[in-house]
Amino acid sequence: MENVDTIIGINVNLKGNLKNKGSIQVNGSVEGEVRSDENVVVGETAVVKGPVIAKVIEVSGTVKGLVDASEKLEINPTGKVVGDINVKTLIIKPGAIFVGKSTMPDQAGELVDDKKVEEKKPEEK
Amino acid sequence: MYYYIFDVRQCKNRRQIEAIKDRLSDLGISGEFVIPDKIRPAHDLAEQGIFKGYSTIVAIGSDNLIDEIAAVMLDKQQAFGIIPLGASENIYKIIGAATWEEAAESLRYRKITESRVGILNEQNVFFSYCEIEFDKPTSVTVEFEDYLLQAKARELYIANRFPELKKKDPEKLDVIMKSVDPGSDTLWGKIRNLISGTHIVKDLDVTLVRSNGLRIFSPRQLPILVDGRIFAKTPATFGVSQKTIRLITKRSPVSK
Repeated sequence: MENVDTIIGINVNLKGNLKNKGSIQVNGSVEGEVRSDENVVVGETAVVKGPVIAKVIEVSGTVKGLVDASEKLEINPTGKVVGDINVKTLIIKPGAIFVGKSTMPDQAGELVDDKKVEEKKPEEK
Repeated sequence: MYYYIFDVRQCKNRRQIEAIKDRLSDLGISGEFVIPDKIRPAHDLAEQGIFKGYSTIVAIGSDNLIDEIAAVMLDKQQAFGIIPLGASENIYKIIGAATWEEAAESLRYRKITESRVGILNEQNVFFSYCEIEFDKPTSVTVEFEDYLLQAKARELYIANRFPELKKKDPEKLDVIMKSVDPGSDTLWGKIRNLISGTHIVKDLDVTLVRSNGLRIFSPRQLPILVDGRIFAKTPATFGVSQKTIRLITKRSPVSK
């Protein structure tokens, strides 16, 4: 708890815009923007309806909205992103769901887009 | 030039009163001792001490006395000392002393820390934290400047200084809430709790938010406690003082 500046607990509903310099962890639901100068962690039980903007973003729950990570976005096996993403480094783990358009800056820092990506859970045995 | 506001009711016996006075005398920081009562409450005595020109006002007693005098000491040139007696652990941590004897020594070898305090309903001051008292989990709404939180809560604290939690921003209050999993009210939820033996898994029920101001609403009035005493009831407004207190804290030991 010491390392995280803000935590939204399970079954807590947040309405509005959560902006923070420090790290944010969401385990509940958010209707609005989540913005941090550091990290945002969207936990397994979390549902965010709105843009998520941070340096590093880790998604294990659900995000419906733009995801803008200036450094890295990681979508874990339980994670689901429905919305466009702007990201420098993207990691989508097996089982993760991403529905949207991804845009990455090229080496000169300009955005390169139009990669329509759709990944879904691998077929279960 | 010390002015001691001494809540002698917090002393175990008469011998302890004398022991405290003797220790302060040994340290060379004896002064005027006054005892608050209904006719002369602590805040009146503190104002009197400032008016008399004392450079240091000291509260000897519990959190309630300390908070009452702290409200007077905001934005004052005089230093504010604390010798906790019957006070919460948190007060000891704030001044950096483990015992009343150490607190007395801190007054002698003083270090002044500009400290802010929490303010409840724009009138009551709290050094440590306020607790919303729940007899059962209750829906609450916590309104901040840019957003609001809604949850069925079972614990809620609004802290200027909370035990075991490092203060990250002196200009903000820490809001700590434990929410309830609505699923636990269902039959399956109850069975699951019995199996797991815990109410909530992995502290996912903890919410921590830092803010310089907030309002709390609830469908029914809930008591707001400071050190076990009811200060107010919801709805209530919380903030941080813009002014500071010149608080005497323990000087760090000089490293060799």
